[in-house]
Parts: sequence; C-alpha cells; structure tokens
Amino acid sequence: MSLLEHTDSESDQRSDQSVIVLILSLPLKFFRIYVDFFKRRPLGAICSLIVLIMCVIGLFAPLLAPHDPLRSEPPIRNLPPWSEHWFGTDLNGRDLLSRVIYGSRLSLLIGVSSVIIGTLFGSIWGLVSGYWGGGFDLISQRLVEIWMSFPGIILAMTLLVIMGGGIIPVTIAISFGRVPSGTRVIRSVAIATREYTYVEAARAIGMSDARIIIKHVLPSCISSFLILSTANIGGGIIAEASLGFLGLGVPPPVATWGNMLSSNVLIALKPSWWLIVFPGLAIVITVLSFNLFGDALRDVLDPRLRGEH
Amino acid sequence: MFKYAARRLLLAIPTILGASVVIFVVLRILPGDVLAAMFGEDEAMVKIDPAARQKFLEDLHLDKPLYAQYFLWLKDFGTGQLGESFWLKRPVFDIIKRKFPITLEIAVLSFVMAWIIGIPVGILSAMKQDTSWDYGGRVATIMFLATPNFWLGALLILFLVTFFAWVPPIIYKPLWEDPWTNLQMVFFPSLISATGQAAIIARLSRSSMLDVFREDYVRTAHAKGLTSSRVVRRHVLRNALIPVITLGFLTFGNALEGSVVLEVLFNLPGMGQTLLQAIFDKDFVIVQNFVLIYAGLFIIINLLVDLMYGWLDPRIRYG
Repeated sequence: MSLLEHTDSESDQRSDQSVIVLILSLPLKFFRIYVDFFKRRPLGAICSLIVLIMCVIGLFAPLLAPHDPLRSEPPIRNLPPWSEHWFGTDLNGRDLLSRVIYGSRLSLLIGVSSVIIGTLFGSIWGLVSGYWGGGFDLISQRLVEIWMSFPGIILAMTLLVIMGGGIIPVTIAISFGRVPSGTRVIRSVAIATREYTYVEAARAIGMSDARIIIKHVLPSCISSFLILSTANIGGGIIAEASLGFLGLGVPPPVATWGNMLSSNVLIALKPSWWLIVFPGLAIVITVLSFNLFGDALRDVLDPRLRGEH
Repeated sequence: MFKYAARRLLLAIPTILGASVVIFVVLRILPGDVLAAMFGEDEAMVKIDPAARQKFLEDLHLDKPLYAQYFLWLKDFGTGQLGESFWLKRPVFDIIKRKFPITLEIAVLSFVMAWIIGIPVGILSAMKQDTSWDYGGRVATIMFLATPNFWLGALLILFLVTFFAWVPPIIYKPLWEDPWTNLQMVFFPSLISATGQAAIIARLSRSSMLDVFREDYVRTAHAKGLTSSRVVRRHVLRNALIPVITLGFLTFGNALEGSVVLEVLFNLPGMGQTLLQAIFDKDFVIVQNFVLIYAGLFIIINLLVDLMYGWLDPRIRYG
C-alpha cells in the first residue's frame, strides 16, 4: 500500500467506533444521572424542570407571547385580566402576559449570567490565590475583605452611576457583588486540596503549577462552584428586579420583570393588582425553583455542606 | 480577649481606608471633568454662575491633583465639612444628620422584629422536627427567602389600600416629635425587612439546634433522665445559639441594604432614597459620602460580629 491509499487498521477502526459510541451514549448517561437525581431528591428535580420550563419560555418567547410586548393601544390601558389579555394590560396599554414572557428572557439572562460571571471570576481568583499562597494571597485576602464591605445593591448602584443603564452594565454591576463569595469558598477548597498527597507527588515529579491546578485542584472546585452559582442565581434575579424597581436597570420600554415592577407602578395611588402580582409571581416561582434546585444539587454533590436535612 | 479585640480593630481600619480608596477611584475615573459629568457636557444647559462653580471647585478640591483630592476628602469626612449638595442646596453633613436617623430606625426596628419572629420559629421547627410545625416553618422560610422585599411591600400596601382603605402617612414626623405617626410610617417597611431577615435567622437556628441535638452531651443528658425542656434550656440553647447570634447579626447588614429599596417604596426620607436621587442627579458629593457611610457601617457590623464570636466562643480567641 502506498501512503496515499491509507485505509484504517483494525485498531483504528475500533477506536473510532468507541468514540462514536461514547458520544452517542452521553445523552443516555445524562438521562440515567437525571433519573437518579429524581429518585434521591424529587423536589430538586421538579424544580430543575421548572427552571428548564422558564428557560424554554424565554427562548421561545416570540412563539408563545400572544401579543407584541412593545406595542400599545391606548384605548385598552390598565385593563384587568380578561379573555383577550390573560394578565391584563399595563399603564401603557401593552399586554402584560406577553411582557412577562418576554421579560423572562432578560431577567433570566441577566440574573444567570451576572452570577456565573461574578462567581467564575471570583473562583479563578480564589483558586490561584489559595494555591499560590504567600504575598499574593495576603493582598488578595485584604482586597476581598474590602470588596465584601460593600452591600450588593449599593455597589451595583455606585457602578451604575458611571456606567448608566442597559443590559451589559446591569449584568456587570450585579456580577461585582458575587465575586467575594466565590473567592472565599474556592480559595478554601484550593487550600485544602493543595495539601493532598497526590498534589505533593505531582509537584515532586516536576509538574508545572498550571498543570497541577488544572488536573488536580480544579475538579474539587467544580462542585463547589456549581453549588455556589446555582444557590446565588436566585439572588441575582432578585438583584436585577431591585435595580429595575429603583429605575436603574434596563430602561423601558424593553420588558424585564424588574422594570415592570418599577416604582411608578407600585407607588401609584390606586395600584392595579395584576400589574404587581403577575411579574412578582414570575420572580418568586423562578427564584424559588433555582433555590430549591441549588439546595438539592448541594445535597447530592457535597452532603458535608448540608446544614439541615 | 483584649489582644483579639485589638487585632480585629486594627484590621478594620485599613479595610475602611481601602473601601474609601475604592469609592474614590470608582467615582473619579470618569474621563473628563467631574463637573461636566455632574452638569452635562454643555455647560450652557445648566446655568451655573461663576461663584457657584468656584465654590464647587473648592468644595471638591477639584483644582488640586488627584491624590490630594483623596486626602482632602478624608480630612473633610473626618471633620464633617463635606461641602454642599448642588441639588439639595444644603450642606451634606446636614443632610446626613437628617436622613441617617430614619434609616437607622428602620434597620434597628426590623432587626429586633426579625429576631423576635425568627428565633422561636427556628427553635420550634427544630424541636418538632418533621412534624407539620416543622414543614410549615420551612415552607414559610423558603418562600420569604425567594420574594423580593419591595414586592412583598407592594402587596402589603395593595392589601391595606384595598381592604382597609388605609395609606401610610405622607409627611414624615421624627420619633420624638410625633411617635404615633412615625411608627405608622416605619412599622410596615420594618416588618417587610424583618421577614427576610427572620427567614435567614429561622433557618440558621433550626440547623444549628439540629446539629447540637446530635451531640453526645445531649444524648448523655437525656440518658441521665432530664426532661426534654430542661435539656434544651440548659444544654442545647446556649451552644446552638452561638452561631445564630454571630451570623445572625450579619443580617443587620442585609437590613441596611434592603432599607434602600423599602425607603423608596414607602416614600421615607432616609439615606437610601436620598442616595437614589443623588444617583439620578449624578450628585457625586452625596454618592461618594453616602456609600462610604454604608460601607463603614458594614465593616463595623462585621467587626462587632467577630468580637462577639470571640467573646461567646473561647475557642476562637485562642485559636
């Protein structure tokens, strides 16, 4: 055979097949893990389904929303729920159900991404700081203490003074508040892990720091990271809602659950109940599901962190 | 104990200074003139006469280099000469003096209410574990942790307006002038803030008590024949409540944070509402100083919690 007529040898064909089998079996493996999760923590699994449904609603908002969330018809301002508008209409005549559905997109996007970005940044910082120790760790610890002295909302407000409103500024502002907790938790995991014998052994054979961190320390941190982020996503969504209420969030007419509950709606002389109840319920259901899912995840991934049954 | 306290105190000072540096840097890294940021790019949009502009320059020390501005600000903060707010047309220190008591009142009242509600719920939940009392308590806790406090407040106002045709008083009266009006205004926001904190405290005390129930000395006490209530009173409570008191005091920080939103909702002229308005007005003088006050309070709370921990749990002091 010349080099141009290469055909796969037996072993090559077998390894190709095993890779394909591996990839095809991933969904099945995931399904099995999920069924196991369902059996051990049914409440958490149900909540994860609710979270999934919320995400699907957000994703398919254009298909699900009965009306245009931005278009208003003045003659039908501030109507209570009825057959044409299931959640009623808001003060500008826009259908509330459509606004809640479309609002889920931005609220979920901002809530989830801000927490994940903040926790990720904090985790990487904590990981490196905990592993290296020394001067870098000392300075980082002081910085984190200073960072933690700012209440989350007030920190976000201060950042939004200079950044203005909008999706990205709000996400960045909320993510700043999540960094210190990520740093602290992951740093303690990293400190614990670097004392393990296998890390010592890896250092002895001359592995570079970066490789040790990625291969040995990182896996221990992943479960802590997952637990921390899912537990805080609810807080991120509430933070977005609070900023929207204060008028500092994403500016109208774009709908988020937060700015639908903005102060001019809530402080009206005779507030309409549907304007308050429905966006708020959306927030509560989503946050509740995320919190319970996060608790169940923590129970499954690291029972030592359990504070209660 | 003294050494521990001194050490913690010494650590708190650079933290506060660090916080002030961060605030200063964040608010001054804006490109361009601070005054332009405050008043808009086109000065002609807002007519500031040269005398007012000069006064501003002096108050904020904008004619000096950046590091000098920072130290002069610290000195001003220490002496209380914080300059004047352009929009509110009064000295910043006066503004703080008027607004701070309201915020403090809400924070303290909500804190007290949270403990009165939270601890009994948590203890009851733990003692009657896995009964309907426990499940009810846990469900309530989880629900309150998932609701935004301003939404709860809005529902409360809606409820009061719809069913009782009652609105909180509009004109603010300080506590010593007109206690009844004052309490009417302050009670409901404090209640809402308290529910969130109480949820955290209840959760904490429940898990802490359950942990202590599992300890050997509790089992011994039961084995000796002591009644349940006696065991709880003499052995469980004092040990279980240590982490609750220490971590629970941190919820005072949550109270401060939540009060910003609740002040806006219930239209109370406290620091939070003023801060929000200052952010809309881009009133850097107020934002800078108010945020430093909030951060400083947070640091003091954390310091007190650490000291309390050291006092209550001797193992921390000598560790």
